[in-house]
Amino acid sequence: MNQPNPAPEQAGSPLESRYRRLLWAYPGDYQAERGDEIVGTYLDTVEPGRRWPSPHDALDLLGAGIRERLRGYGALGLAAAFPLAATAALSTLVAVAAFLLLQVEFEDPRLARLDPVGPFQTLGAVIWLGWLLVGLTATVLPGSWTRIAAACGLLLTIAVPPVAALAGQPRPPMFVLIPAVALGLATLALPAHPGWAARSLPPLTAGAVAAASVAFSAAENGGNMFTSYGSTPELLAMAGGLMFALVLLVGLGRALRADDAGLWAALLLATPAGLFGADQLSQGIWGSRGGGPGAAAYATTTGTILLVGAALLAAAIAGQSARHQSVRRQVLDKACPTCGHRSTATTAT
Amino acid sequence: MATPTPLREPTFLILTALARESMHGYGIISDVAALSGGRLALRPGTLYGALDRLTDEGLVERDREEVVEGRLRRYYRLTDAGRSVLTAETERLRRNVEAATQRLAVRPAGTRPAGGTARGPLTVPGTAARPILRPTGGPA
Repeated sequence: MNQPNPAPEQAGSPLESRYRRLLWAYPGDYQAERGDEIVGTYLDTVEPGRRWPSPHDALDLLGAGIRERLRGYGALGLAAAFPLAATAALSTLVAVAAFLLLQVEFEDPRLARLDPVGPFQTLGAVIWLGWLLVGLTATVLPGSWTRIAAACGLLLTIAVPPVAALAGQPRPPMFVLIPAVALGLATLALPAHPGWAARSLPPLTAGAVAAASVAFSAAENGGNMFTSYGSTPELLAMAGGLMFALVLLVGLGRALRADDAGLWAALLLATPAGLFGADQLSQGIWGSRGGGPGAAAYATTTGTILLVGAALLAAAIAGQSARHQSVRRQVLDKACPTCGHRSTATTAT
Repeated sequence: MATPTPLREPTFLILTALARESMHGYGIISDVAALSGGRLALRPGTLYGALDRLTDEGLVERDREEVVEGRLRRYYRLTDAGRSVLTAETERLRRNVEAATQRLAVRPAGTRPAGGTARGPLTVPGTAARPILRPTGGPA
C-alpha cells in the first residue's frame, strides 16, 4: 500500500481549507460527521506541493454531496435519471438538428428574405452541424470525450446569438435556441460508460429524421411547407411533446421493475419539452403579432415554464422526502417481534 | 435497497479490499488501485458514497476510529452478508471465466493454432450453458 502524505505538511493548510469549502454540497449534519474523514483522505491522496484541489476533485465532491442530499430525501433515482435524460436530450437534439439543417438551413435564403450565410440561411447551421458531430462522438468515442463534445456544443449554441449580433448575420429565433440550450445543459450528464442504447440512439434518430425529411421533400414535389424557422414552431412543439411522452413511457416501464429513474428523467425533461412549445403557448394565451408572439409575451411564457418546471421538481423531491421519512419512521418504531428491540438511527440517511 | 447484481466493478473491488482486514478510506483507495492494476482510481467523494450505500445494504460496517497525526481514520469491515455476496459474485465470475477459457481452447474447424496442429473439438461442460446465478445471502 502507498504511504499517505504526512499530516503535518497539510494540517491547517490553504489546501485543507479549500477542500473543506468544497464540502458545502453535502448536508450540514453529514459535513459535521464525515467532513474530517473525507478531507483527511483527500489530503492523504494528493501529490506533495499541491495548493488547490483539482477540477476532478471538485466535481467528485460536488457530485458526491448532491448524491448524499438525494439519498437523504430517498430520491437517489434522480441521480440515476441524469444520464437517461441526457441520452434522450442528445437524441432529440440531433433529430432537431438534422431536420432544421435539411428543411430550413439548406432552403433558398430568399424564401426567408435573409442574407445567406454561405450556403445556409443563418448561422444556426453551425449549431446543428455541431450537435450532429456530438451525436457522432457519442456513438463512436468514449463517454468522457462525448461530455467534452456536448459542452462544446452547448457553448456553440450559446455563442451564436452574440456572434450573429456582432457580425450582423442572421441567426435562428430564440424559440429554437432556448430549448436547444436547455437540452444542451441536460447532455452534460451523458453517461461515462454508455451502453449500446445510448450509443445507437443518436445516429438512429438523426437517420430516421433525415430519411423522413428527404421523403417529405420528395412528396412535396417542390412545395415550400418549411422554408424558414418561422414555419417550424408547431413541429418543434410536437418534437418536445414526443420526447417527453417517450421518456415517460420508458419511465413507466422501468417503474414496473421498481426503478423510478425513468420517471425522474421525464420530470427533468418536462422543462425543455415545455420550452419547445413556448412559442405556440404564447400565441395561444396572448395572441400573435406579425406571425408570432410578442417578445414580452414569449419571455413571460418562457419564464413561467422555467418556474413551473423547477417547482414541479422541488415538489417531487419534497414529496419523495416526506414518503421516505415516513417509511423510515415506521421501520424505526417497529419493535422486533422476538426480543422487543427497537432500531435506532445511527447512520445518516 | 437490494444490492444490484452482478456487482459493478468498483463495488466488487471495494468488497474485495475489505475481505482480508478492516481498512480506512485511504487504504481502500490504494488497495482498489492495486487490485485493478492501477486502472481504477477511486476518489474519496465517490468512495464514501459507495461505503454509505454498502453500509445501508448491510454489506459493510464501521469497525473502529483512530486519530493519527491529527487526521481521523475510520475503519470499515465486511459483514457476514457482505462476505456472502462477495463469495457468490466471485463464484459467478469464476464460472464465467472457466466457461470462456474452455470455449477459447476449442478452435473452429479449419483453423490451426500458431505453431501447432489442428485439434478436435473439446467437450463443452454444462456449466457454460447454465443460467447465471445471482449472489445469495445478501439483504433483500
